[in-house]
Parts: sequence; C-alpha cells; structure tokens
Amino acid sequence: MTWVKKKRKKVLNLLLKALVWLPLFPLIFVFPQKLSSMELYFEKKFELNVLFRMVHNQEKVKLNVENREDQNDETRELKMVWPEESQEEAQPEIIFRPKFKNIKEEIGVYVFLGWLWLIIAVLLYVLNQQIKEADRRRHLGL
Amino acid sequence: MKEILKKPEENSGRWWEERLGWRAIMKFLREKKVPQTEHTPWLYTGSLILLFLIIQVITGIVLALYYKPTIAEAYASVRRIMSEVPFGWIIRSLHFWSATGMIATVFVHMISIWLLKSYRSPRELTWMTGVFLLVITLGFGFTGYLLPWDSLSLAATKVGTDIPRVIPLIGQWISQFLRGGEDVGADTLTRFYLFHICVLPLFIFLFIAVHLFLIQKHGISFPLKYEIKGIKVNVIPFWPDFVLRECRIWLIALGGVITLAIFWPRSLGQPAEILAPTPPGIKPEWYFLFLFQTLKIFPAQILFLKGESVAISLILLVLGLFFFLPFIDNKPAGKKGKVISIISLILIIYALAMTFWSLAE
Repeated sequence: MTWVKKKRKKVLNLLLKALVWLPLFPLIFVFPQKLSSMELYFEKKFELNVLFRMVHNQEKVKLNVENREDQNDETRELKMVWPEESQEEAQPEIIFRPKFKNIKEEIGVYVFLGWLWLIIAVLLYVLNQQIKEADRRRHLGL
Repeated sequence: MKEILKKPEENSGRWWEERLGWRAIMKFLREKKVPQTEHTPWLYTGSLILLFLIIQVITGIVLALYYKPTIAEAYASVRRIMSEVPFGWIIRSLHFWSATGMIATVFVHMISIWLLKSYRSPRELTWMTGVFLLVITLGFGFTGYLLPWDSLSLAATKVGTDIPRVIPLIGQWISQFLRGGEDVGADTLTRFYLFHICVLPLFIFLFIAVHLFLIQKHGISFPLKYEIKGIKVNVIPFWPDFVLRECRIWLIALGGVITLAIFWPRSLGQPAEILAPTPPGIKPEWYFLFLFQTLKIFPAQILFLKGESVAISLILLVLGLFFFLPFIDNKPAGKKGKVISIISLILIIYALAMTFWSLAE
C-alpha cells in the first residue's frame, strides 16, 4: 500500500515538473530552424502563382537580361522583375467600404442610435427598479 | 353566465392556459433556483449566446432574401446588399458583429464552465452537447466566411479546406467533401451556403434543445468550492429575479452590436478569382488564429512524420480529450482535478498567446 502511495507521489511530482516546463515548450519554435510546414505551403503556392501568371500572361513579366561586358551568353544573368503595379496588387485591398447614401440617411441613422441608447438607459433604470422590488419581495418572503 | 361576465383578459388567459398550460411553466420557472455567488456573471454568457443567435437568424433571413449563392453572382449580390438595399450594409455588419460576439461569448462560456468544473457529474452530457455547439458555431464562422466570395475569403477557404488532407485515411475524403471536388469552386460555394443556412442551423437548434433540456433537468451547478466546504449558497428564483438581471446584459449587448455595426461596418474585398494567386500573408478570422499559429510553428518534419500531420493529430487529440473531459476529470476535488485545472489554465494561456502572436505578426 505504501509502495503504491509512493509511486503515486512520484508520478504526481513528475507531472508537476512537466507542468512547470510545458509553458517553455513553444520557445523551441522561436529559434531559427528549417521552414515550417505552413511556410512551405505558402512558398509552394507562390511558385504556382508565378507559373500561373507566366502561362496566362496576365501580368507582363519582364525578363531583364543584363548584358554585362564580362559575361558571355551562357553566364548572362537573368532577372525576373515584377511590374510595380502588380506588387501593389499583392496586398489585398478593400475596394468596397459601405457608406451612407446621403446626409439624410446619415442623420437618420445617428438619430436612431441616440434614440436607441436613450431607450436602453430608460429600460435599464426600469429594470433596476424591478430588480430592487423583486429582491424586496423575496426578502419579505412574499 | 358567470363565465361570460368575466373580464375579457381573464377569459383569454384561461383560453391560453387550457391550451399551453403556461401557469405550470411559470410555476416551474419561479421554483427554479439560481446560485448567487461571485461566479454568477458567468451565467449570463449562456443567454447572451442565445441573443446573438436570434440576431443572427433575423439578419441572416434578411440577407438570404438578396444573396445569390453562385460564383457568378455571389459577390455582386453582396455588393448590391451593401449599396442598393436600404440599410443593407447595416444588416450585413450586424450579422458580422453578432457572429463575432456569439463566437466570443461561446468561448467565454466554455472557459467559465471548464475552469469552474461545472461539467462534473451528473452534467457530463450537458458539457458534451456544449462542445458540439462550440464546433457548430465555429462551423458557422468558417462556412459564412466564404459566402461574400471575395479574394480573402476564397484564399482562406482554400487553406482551411486543404488542412484536413493530412488526416490519415479520411483526410482526403473530408477535403473533397467540403470542396465538392479537387479545388475550391462553384460547388464549394453552394455546399457552404447549404451548410450555413440549412445543415448547421438544424444541428444548432437540435443541440440547443437538448442542452437546455439538460440544464432544466439538472439545474444550474453550484461552484465546486462551496460544495467542498459545505458553505450555504444564496439562491434567487430564475423568474423574475434572474431573468430581469439577464435582460440588462441583453440590452447593453444589443446596443453595443448595433453601434459597432454602424461605426465599424464590414467591408468587402476584391472579387474572388479561382485561378488568381493567393494573396500573401493571409490569416483566418481571429477565432482560428491559435490553430493557424500552432500549425505555423510546427516544423515541416518531425522525425519521420510530416509536421502538419503531427500538429493536426495533436489538435484532434486535444479536442477529443476536451469532449470527454467530464469522464477524465471524474474527481474534480482531488489531486487529479487540481492537475487538470493547471493543464486547463496552461492550454487557455497557450491559445491566447498564440492568438496574440499571430495578430502581432
């Protein structure tokens, strides 16, 4: 019986130690390492995107061939340059932001909002009174 | 003769009483007791979820009147709702903010039940139906996100429906079932719309009915420490004392959601193109960020296994343990219960840390 208790205590101690160290576990991921699975996923997607753009010719991909005097045809450096506008497009931008149709609608909505909060304030006051009354009746045992 | 001479409202009350038996219901509600302790505010979260759900249903019906679930018309119909339908943008924003509020409240509700150990016997089934409701609510968020058919929603759905592929044996099938094919397209939109307005509501109302029935059957649990120490808990009747207190929270939440919808309306991105490139740096909605960040920090390869597979398996394992928690934590007052409390706290801190980390990136 004592042996079982000791064993249990040991297991519990081990668990508690593990709990102390567990929060530090994510730190191992902070240190530089190989690309994570999600990063690889996005990298793969990016490669596919480049292929897509080239095949469909949606973007004009400029292949800048740098003709340098010290390079012959074989060692010529190939550089792929995206047009400036396509780099801007890379960030998803919000193109449709809702707005009031006219000043009349705007004023109407703000008036409604003011009225709504006024009603809420009045109702909260009424509810507080009702709660006080309910509490009083409960204390009196009615 | 006496019956006829009675006041009309008395006759009408009797008419309803004979058909519905509402006096018995009111008697039950008056006799139902709710504990009044320092943990009582957590109890309001349950009914707050219902308020958000009611707003979701009403605004959802209005949006469904104008929305067209085809890839050719989905984006245009949402744009029409926002620009042509009178106050359509407020309705859409209300739908978005109440969804956000509902998911946030579901999380708070679950965490409060989790930490207060209200799942203990005999409320195991109440907890399990609650976990189902959490999954269904997240399902609502996931399916609803694609419906505007803008570039961000398409990209997020592509990533989201690609993740189950790593699950052994059934992963490929789940992904294909969700997408309605190999890739996200017209069938995916139709399926997500069907799930969003038909399948998930059916399940959510079914589970809510069971959940509420179980709450009525077992009553609201008393805090564990009061039970252990044998301290007498002050109780109040559910009707009208507790309901009146709940109404205050409902009013403030309703006003808050409408204000948010007007001052911070939901906008619309660029129209989605199936063959277009995925925008860089896409992130899911805030409630999936902790899962997203967990997947992101996992190395590509762990020993001979794929990092993604290990991460998904771990997440599924934790979800399974979470579902069966009342049976695992069968002695909440003992040492085992204390260890589980500490693990629960660590998991909650971990999820919060991952969410903030992902937001900061």
